[in-house]
Amino acid sequence: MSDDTLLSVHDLTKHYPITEGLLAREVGRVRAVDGISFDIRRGETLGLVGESGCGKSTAARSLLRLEPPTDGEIRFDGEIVGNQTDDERKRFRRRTGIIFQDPTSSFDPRLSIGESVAEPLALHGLRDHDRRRSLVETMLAEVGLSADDYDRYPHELSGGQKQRVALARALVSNPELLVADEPVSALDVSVEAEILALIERLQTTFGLSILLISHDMSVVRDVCDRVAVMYLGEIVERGPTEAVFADPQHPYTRALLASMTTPDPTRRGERAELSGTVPDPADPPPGCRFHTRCPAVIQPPDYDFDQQVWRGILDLRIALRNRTLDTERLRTRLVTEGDAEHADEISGAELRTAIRAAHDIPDELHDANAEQVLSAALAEIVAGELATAEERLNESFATICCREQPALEETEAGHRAACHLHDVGGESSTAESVLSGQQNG
Amino acid sequence: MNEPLLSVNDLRTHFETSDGTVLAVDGVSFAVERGETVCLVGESGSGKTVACESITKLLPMPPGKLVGGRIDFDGRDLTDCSPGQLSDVRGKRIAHVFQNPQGALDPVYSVGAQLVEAIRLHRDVSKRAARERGIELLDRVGIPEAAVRFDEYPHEFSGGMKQRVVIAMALAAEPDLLIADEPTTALDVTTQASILDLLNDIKAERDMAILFVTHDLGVVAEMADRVVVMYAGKVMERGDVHDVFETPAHPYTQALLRCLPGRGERRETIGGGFPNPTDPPTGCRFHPRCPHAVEDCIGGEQPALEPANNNETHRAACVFYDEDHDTEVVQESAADRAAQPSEQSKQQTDGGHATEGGNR
Ligand code: SF4
Ligand code: SF4
Repeated sequence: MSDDTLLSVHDLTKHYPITEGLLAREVGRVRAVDGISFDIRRGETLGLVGESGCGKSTAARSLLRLEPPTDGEIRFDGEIVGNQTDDERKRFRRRTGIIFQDPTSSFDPRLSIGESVAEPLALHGLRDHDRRRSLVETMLAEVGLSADDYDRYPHELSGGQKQRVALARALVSNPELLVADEPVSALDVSVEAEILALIERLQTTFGLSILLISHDMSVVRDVCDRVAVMYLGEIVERGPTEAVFADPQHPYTRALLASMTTPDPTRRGERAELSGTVPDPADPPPGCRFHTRCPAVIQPPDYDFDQQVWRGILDLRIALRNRTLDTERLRTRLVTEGDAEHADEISGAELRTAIRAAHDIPDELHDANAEQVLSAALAEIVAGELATAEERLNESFATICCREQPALEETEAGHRAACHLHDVGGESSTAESVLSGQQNG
Repeated sequence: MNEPLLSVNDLRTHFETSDGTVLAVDGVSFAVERGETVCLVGESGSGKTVACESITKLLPMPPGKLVGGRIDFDGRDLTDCSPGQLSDVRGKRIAHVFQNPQGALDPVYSVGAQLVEAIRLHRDVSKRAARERGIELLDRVGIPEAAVRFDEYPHEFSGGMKQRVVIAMALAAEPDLLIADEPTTALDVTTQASILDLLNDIKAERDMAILFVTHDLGVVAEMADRVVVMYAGKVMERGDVHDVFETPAHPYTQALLRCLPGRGERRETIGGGFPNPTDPPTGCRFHPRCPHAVEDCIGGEQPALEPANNNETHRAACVFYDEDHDTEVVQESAADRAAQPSEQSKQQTDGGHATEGGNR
């Protein structure tokens, strides 16, 4: 941690217990944020990016202690935040500010703009009414509104103007850290550009550090110095914005970048798709949490697959693990689609073909050894021995991605990523080829 | 040339509010050919959604009111149709998909039951056949294990999957036109990408036309055959998607494109605020914010849509495209935009009261 570090987050964790029954016995935990670490330097903007449900907003709320974290250490200006006295907590609140996606919900509609902005000042003990008013008026001017707006009401303002008021209120107590949670997602394109420009100007004026939370990679690229990519409660890649965008090292980051649309019709169809959805954070996948969707997931060393076919086989295995492969249903469906009258008439071979087709696996793998394993497993599935089939696939087609959780480590690109493709000694030599293959895949 | 599938002519939809009459759509014309995707693009207040919802009168009326214009759909003027006839068109020929799939699904029925209903509304088939068809449709829109999920309830589906279900329901009627209003705006980027691909695939497969409403120029570039740019209730520009993105003709379109993040360049802003919808500017509605505005822009009506670059199909509603003005003043190409910061960047602003006015 260097001297100019303002905020340092270490192993931040936020779990929500899932309880059952009258005694509220804990039966599980939603691992919304599961051990993330990062620093923010003075005057710097850090972007926290990821799909909805990845935990980015929860991370922000718990580091500001708007809800207590489950675990982890937060240092603000060198001091541990957490076991503070009331006074210290108040001071911490004053030195941080937050704005949200929907500014409307954060205002009391009965309060005038000026009263809303003045609230934090009153809370922090500034009783002199005139002084409060003059501070608020100055602040309104800073965010591009005017002193006359003091007496207007939220409903008289456009979305962009409300976001300006939200900024004024967040900054009126002169904080050092601003947390901006999706500040422009609800705004129009032209207003978005204005608000981002305003945030940048305010950052210079007030020497702010900013934690910007967004699902929008283009916003992050525009305003952040560094970026941390979150997936299912964890940070999977972290580094200077330019480096991460120019040379992403985690397959998830690559997928996010590849899903972005570009305002250029000549580059149509260059997007790549990412299959599946974010798994349930109450039951994250073992090993690398991204392995259920990762297009670059590492192949078992002794076999040779086309990458897409390997992805399909792994999907089959995951379906077995999650008990979502239902052979009875498949039989019924084959009856509906085909000529057979009754589920019993569906032959084992037909069912095996259907299972392959459902997972984009060809009728025969080109690697004979792999084909042997797969057909044996399919035979077991058809015979109803799902657990045996799962075990067979697990053992024969073992991959480190399902077994070990990758650590967030320095890559050859110079920034950090949590992916086994970068493991030293192991498959690291293939990282570049596999990752670049993903983009065309 | 064949008649277009949908042709909207001089459409005017107004709203009575306590602040006065909102001229939400104020003389808008565009057409959609069979099998093509037309994107209606604009910011909030442009009138794009109201224009779309006027077509099949989905719009609550009152407070909305169709005060003028014709809407010809497959040879029939929809403005003349009775509510019964219209609901027939809505069920069978024109389907809608909205931003929020939640609203289109009934939480108390399984998605299968809702699909079966939609299918049987369209075709007189047995329940069993409708069920088969429903599963097929779910499978087609990319719901894994469609047969299993057929009997599940809307809340058991993720946002992206719900939107797929809604698309399946829309397809049940085998519509000629799908009106999709910001269908991917509420979704994650990765989900958005796959839904856009899905829409493109089924459009090609079924020769179905899509009227796609969006504020997102990235999505427009991905989807559109042709583009209609709206601002403050008026069409500012329309044309082939490549023409509009490569040589945006109207200063508003040019400004909007400059608001987007470029590769490493700073975004620019438009400056000024959205006009008051009950009292829009005279002349060109963009004139208070336009860097090229001249005396002729200020009075009278919105300039007519004139061909840009001698291209009949690419038109802009700006005085610089009429015979009395030098077009070069406002012309720019995508290359110019990338090569040098425009004149406007000098007056780059982060807006504020003085600039982002309006009372909405
Ligand atoms: S560790 Fe494996 S599954 Fe995880 S991102 Fe890397 S390659 Fe993909
Ligand atoms: S008509 Fe005038 S104000 Fe309108 S876009 Fe053209 S130059 Fe600008």
